[in-house]
Amino acid sequence: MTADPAWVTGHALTAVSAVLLAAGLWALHRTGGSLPVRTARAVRVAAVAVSLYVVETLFHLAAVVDSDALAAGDLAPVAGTHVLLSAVLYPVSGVALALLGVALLRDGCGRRRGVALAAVLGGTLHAAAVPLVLLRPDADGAPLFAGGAVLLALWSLLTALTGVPTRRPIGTTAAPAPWVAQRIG
Amino acid sequence: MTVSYRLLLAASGLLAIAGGGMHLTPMPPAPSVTTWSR
Repeated sequence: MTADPAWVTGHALTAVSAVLLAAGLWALHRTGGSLPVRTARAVRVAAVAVSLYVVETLFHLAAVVDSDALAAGDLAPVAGTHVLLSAVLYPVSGVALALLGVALLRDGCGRRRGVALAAVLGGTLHAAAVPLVLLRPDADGAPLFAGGAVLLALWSLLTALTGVPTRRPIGTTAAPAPWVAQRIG
Repeated sequence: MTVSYRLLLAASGLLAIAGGGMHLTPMPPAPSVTTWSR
């Protein structure tokens, strides 16, 4: 698998994509003052989790150095480290992104809620993929990996287009209650 | 200069799709995780 010429390019793109996702979440975190409190908290957690996940993607990419050892069935320390890290960091980053999706779903409205759903589903698939493959080696994890990756990529792209919900200025959160209107009147 | 989170997320999404597309190209049978641990 790691000997395939497309493997390095594909995983290098995936690693850079993860770096950009982490950077994007940290950039969003820096605008925290304008975000709803729940979303701001979820963005911070997701930024930390995806930053840790970047380390896994780098070991995943570097596993190519173990190609010969893997083919020979020898000890493959880099690939082994990648597997160990993925067992922890896929679920951690997936759950964090799914929770960010939930926060965006609750704080957003309109089409942004549909976009947030992609993070909820994508994060859940991403979180479940590695545990499934490790616990049930005969199971086909490809649909989970592919589904999670596609949905999270779609979430990134669509969030770039639609933006995230912002905190409403005090005094514009809702129309005054009827009894307030009566007293004012 | 601060790079917009929108620009970063857009680039991330595009690269993820490009990288994922390469994963989906036909490849020889992959060794399983259990093979790696042997």
